[in-house]
Amino acid sequence: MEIRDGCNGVNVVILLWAAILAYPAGWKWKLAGLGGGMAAIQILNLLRLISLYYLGQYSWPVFEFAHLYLWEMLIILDAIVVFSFWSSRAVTEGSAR
Amino acid sequence: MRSLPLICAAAFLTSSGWAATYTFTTPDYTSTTDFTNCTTGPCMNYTTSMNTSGSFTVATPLGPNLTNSNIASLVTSYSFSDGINTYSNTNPNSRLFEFLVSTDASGNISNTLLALQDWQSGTSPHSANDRIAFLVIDMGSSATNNSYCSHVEPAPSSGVADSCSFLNSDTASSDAFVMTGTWMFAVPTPTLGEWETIFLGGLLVTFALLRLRRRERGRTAA
Repeated sequence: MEIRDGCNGVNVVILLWAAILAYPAGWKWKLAGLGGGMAAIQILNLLRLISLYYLGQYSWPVFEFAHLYLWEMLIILDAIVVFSFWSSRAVTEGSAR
Repeated sequence: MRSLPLICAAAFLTSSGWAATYTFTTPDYTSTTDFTNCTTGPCMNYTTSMNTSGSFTVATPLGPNLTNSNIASLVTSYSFSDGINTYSNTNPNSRLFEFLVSTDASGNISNTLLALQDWQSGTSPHSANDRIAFLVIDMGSSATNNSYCSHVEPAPSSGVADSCSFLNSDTASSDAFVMTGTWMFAVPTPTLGEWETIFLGGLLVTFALLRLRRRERGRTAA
């Protein structure tokens, strides 16, 4: 298995960062969101890569399903959940200037 | 939300295609023929501890069930070695003469006819009797060093100019052969595909707008 640019979750992190930076909130809370968001995406991406490696050894059809559908859905869900949690706390933790 | 374009730009900038790389390798050569009289050109002998190896890259993975499909125009880069010569798209003396590929139902390479050339004397445009090495990869590989070219023209299959369409060996030539080789495909595992990334960008924008609207309503009600 080869992990290339685009496979390391950086594009999802960049997208999440753009949403966090664009949303009205205090800078300290934005920084917390940038760090926490990156950690959440990268941890899940690491789990994705490990699971795909073992699935690839076990069954190619299962690997393809997990690779093309399941994990993409989970990564999207992860980004939405992170942004939802962060933005819901943006009002109480840091008000817009 | 004023910075909406920021998210949209991030969505498009982070979307990109994923190239596919196919790698080939053979066991050590099983048969070699040495040059006997080095009259001209870079005479070198192959040994049975040498082999053929290399790879090529295409913009998107090859489709399934291809039969002798000409993919020369799809190859974005290649690099192969026969143990003596390196044939590469970055080598100005290399020529991709022919590239036919067959694949199975999963898109894995089942057979190829890959013919590569490397001019070893003269300058472009080359002429008859210039020395040339060539490598043929099918089930295994066949490599020849320091043969001479009888006819120079654009390759009929790939269209690559300044190729040799008829080669001959002489006493200054050497060759090597092995019957088997293996193709491997490097599977890209992108985190999100292009459209999925754009979809996520849209979801984030929609979510943010809804939450801001709710916040405004809450302030208005207060």
